[in-house]
Amino acid sequence: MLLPTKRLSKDDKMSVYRNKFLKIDLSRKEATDEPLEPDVVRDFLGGRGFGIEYLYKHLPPQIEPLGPGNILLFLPGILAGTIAPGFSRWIVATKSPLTGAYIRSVCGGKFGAALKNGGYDFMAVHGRADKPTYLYLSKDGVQFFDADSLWGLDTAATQDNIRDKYGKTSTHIACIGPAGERLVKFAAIIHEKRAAARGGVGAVMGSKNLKAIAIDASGGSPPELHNREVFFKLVKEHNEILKTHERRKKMTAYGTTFITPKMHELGIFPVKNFQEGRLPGVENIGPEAFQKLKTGDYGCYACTTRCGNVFKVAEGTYAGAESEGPEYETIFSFGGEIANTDAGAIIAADALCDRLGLDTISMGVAAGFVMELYEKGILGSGALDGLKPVWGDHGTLFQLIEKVAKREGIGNILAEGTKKAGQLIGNGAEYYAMTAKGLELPGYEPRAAKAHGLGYAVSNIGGSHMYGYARQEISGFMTPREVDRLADDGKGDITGWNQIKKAVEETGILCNFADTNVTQQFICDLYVSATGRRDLAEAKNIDTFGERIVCLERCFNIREGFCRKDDTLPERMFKEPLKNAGPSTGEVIRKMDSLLDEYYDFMGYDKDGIPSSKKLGELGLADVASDMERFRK
Amino acid sequence: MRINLKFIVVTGAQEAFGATEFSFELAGSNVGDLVREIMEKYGTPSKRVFLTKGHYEPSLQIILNGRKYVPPERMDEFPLQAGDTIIFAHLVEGG
Repeated sequence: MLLPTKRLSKDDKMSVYRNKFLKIDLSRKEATDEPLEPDVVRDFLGGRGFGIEYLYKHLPPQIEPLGPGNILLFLPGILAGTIAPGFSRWIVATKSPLTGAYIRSVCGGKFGAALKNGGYDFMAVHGRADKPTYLYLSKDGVQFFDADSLWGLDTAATQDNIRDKYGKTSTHIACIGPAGERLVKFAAIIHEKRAAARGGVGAVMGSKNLKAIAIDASGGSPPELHNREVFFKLVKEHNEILKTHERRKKMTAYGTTFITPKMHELGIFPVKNFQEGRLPGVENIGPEAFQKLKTGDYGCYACTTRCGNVFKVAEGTYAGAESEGPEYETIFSFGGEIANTDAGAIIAADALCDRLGLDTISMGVAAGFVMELYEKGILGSGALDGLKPVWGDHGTLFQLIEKVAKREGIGNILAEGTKKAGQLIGNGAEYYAMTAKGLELPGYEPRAAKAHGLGYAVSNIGGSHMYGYARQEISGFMTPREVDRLADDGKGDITGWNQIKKAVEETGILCNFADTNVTQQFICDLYVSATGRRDLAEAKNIDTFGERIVCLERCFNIREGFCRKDDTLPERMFKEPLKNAGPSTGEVIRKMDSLLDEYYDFMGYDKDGIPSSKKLGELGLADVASDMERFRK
Repeated sequence: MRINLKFIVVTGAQEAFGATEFSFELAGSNVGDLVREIMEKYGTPSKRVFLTKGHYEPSLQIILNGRKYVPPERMDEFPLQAGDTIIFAHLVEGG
């Protein structure tokens, strides 16, 4: 069925923006072009900003995340579809079925650029289809197709089937696998071999009976630039620097695999479900080990860093397994987290999760959780469908992955997420669930990098390393100031600062792997030449947009019932000094309350973590202030 | 005094030093002395590790005892003690 989109009624255009979004109502099989209001563009810039503005406005509190009332957003950034390298990532935003909070999950590839070049600043998916459906967007409009023949296929087969029908090179697809269909609460949305993985965005897509979205980019065009000459000059100069930059060269050669030995050396690499910081044989999953298996590389849209390393297992149990990646996080989750040092197993597990449509971080942490419960005698083989999951047993890992995706036996419990699984298992199991707000922790030990750890606790999406990456602690950045990663306090301002900067970057949407030599002023210069907006000219002014985004995301969560008690870490981080972690050995989170106070103070939130009326007013969110009043004690 | 050195995925280190982890007898007293003495002892191959266009490679980070990042432009300000460990590693982040 071909449904031409309706025409816009408003025409207040601004360069680089499309000034409209695509609204999909799956329940009614309707697709409409909707105007993007100028004040939204003015106040929220793009990408993640448009996402939270839309969700706060259109998603009533207490909506069931897997019900038809939830909204699923696909958001390219301001510069998607342009030649700016590293700026064509895209975001999925929704209410998370894993955490009950706001979630945004970021992905690379070409889908975001295709959506922008197809004429939209973002896409909002409402409702629920009455049967499995996929969408096809082209210059002719939006078509809704029956997806019965795709339902049950993995993400590779799904994309192959759709590309076979529409063409291999110009069709860009985001889809779910069996895990999303079965509403696994950490199911991912997969595009090519890349994932918008976190927080169960794939389950939301599955709950809407939406198997895939395919975009034919052949009829699209890049967004119009305000000052093409300046924009191109900026990009050209930047690319010249990247050509010889050591960090860029390392990223191209190794991807993120070369993070592992440094984090291990510093005692930041979590081992055995965050019990330790040293993994004997870690060199077997280090960058040199993966280099031996490298068969190619991959670059996202317009990216000159091309950090996507393609690996193929040459021999052994997993011979023939091939994956783009694994990235550092997956090396952590299927390596250190479960004490596995078989690189082939990590590649094969990464590939399997991509095909099934699972978040590798959450899956690995769930597996480490099970291994620790087995070690501690909380779960026996009988409760584990006969499995005997001991540390390092990657064979069991594969069985757990399959069971989760199929929701079989113990997999059906783990499919609810590690936090909920801990509650369901009981007998103290919840203590071993390494999550923040229910989102499984990534591969940086909070006790060994405490601003980063505070970031997990106060993040509005839960335990994410990318919501406010503490570059000062992980990477030695000296701005806005030097930070001792092991110091117990003095971190709140750093965590807030990082969150704000990240939110600014995610209006772009800038990739963390491709941001070599990118300064905030460079971002401003690109934005000004692309949009013509003079209010974006100075780096110090643009922080307000990031602060507004983070603040409104927090207000979204407060409306859902989140408060100070939810801004926390697993009990282990407060009670157990970190073991066997080199320079980080013995570290523990000692001053959580004062860290929270520091952060709230810096952000202009009250003692319960609710943005003050004054702060909301300063950020132009006065209308939100009245919503917040009823939550103040 | 003996200083422990570790080069983590640093291009050319294995070739220049024959190993990526070794100890070094330092005559001087600070991180700047250390880098200069290493280049003096190991010659041109080691200069390729540390220098770009005659200046210290800015993305090659220096970490003292696994905790303190030493800004390259201030390496002379950081004194060393016998048994200290210096890690050289490139900027990495994300995941």
